[in-house]
Amino acid sequence: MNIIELVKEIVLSFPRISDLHIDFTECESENYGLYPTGDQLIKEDILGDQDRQHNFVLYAIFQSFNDYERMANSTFLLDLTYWLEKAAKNQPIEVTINERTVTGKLTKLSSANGMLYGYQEGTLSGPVTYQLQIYAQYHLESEELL
Amino acid sequence: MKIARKLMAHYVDSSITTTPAYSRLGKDLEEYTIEMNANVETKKNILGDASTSIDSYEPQASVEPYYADDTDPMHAKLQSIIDERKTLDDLKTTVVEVHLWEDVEGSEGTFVAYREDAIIEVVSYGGDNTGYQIPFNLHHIGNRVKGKFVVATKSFTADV
Repeated sequence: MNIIELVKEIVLSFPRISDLHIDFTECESENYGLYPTGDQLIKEDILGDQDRQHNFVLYAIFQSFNDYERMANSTFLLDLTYWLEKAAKNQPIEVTINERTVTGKLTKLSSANGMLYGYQEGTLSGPVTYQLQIYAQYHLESEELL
Repeated sequence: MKIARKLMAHYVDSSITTTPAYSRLGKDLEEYTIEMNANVETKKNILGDASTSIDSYEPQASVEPYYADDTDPMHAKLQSIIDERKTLDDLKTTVVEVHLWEDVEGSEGTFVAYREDAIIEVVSYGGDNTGYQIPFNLHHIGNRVKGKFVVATKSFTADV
């Protein structure tokens, strides 16, 4: 399972998310899409082990007709933020690099910029899009030398 | 061809008994450099010619960060130094540098290596909230011998 598959599985296990698309979000309310936005090397030690980070954006479609609904929407993102911080438990991942498989583990999940992102119909009376940026840090073991 | 950094392996004897047990250094270490600290003497003669000589080294390396891991035997060794405030010969150990690019012919998984006596200096312990840290220095104190290192068993045999 690679980092994208693993983070999708973790986000999907949040009790209030029942379905999750990748790089796609349906227009109706209570829809969620996870968009990977790139991977980067954080650091590499002298053994060749790497700490990497994969970035995601979660888009969520909600109703926001009044302050009550908007409060619930922002609270949803806040609850998801707290939940994600506790969700990384060194889950194993596998990565294929140049036809070689290396193993690793998820070390940290964090998130930022949970906010109202845009209006679908140009008004708050229709479905609106909220976003949450998610950062997944993981550790990759260097390939065996023997 | 450029040699990858991970092919210069550094092991330190982490045993607290007389039987060596080598642990590889490098986890979480983005850099590990042995400073040679050469004793350089330069003389100028009456003709104006300069001559430079090096008569000794005091090699030293710093392991920072070192995150304590209770599954790593090195942690037990460092913690005993901290707990018992060990000094003098109780700080002595050996280090082995293994040239993973230099196979020993006829022996798979065996490489040319050099072993040297060293002293462990625990610099500090504790650190920030990223984990319990014990940065330490290794002072190489001589008795350097060439030999062979078997990676699978982590054992060093000096050349005769």
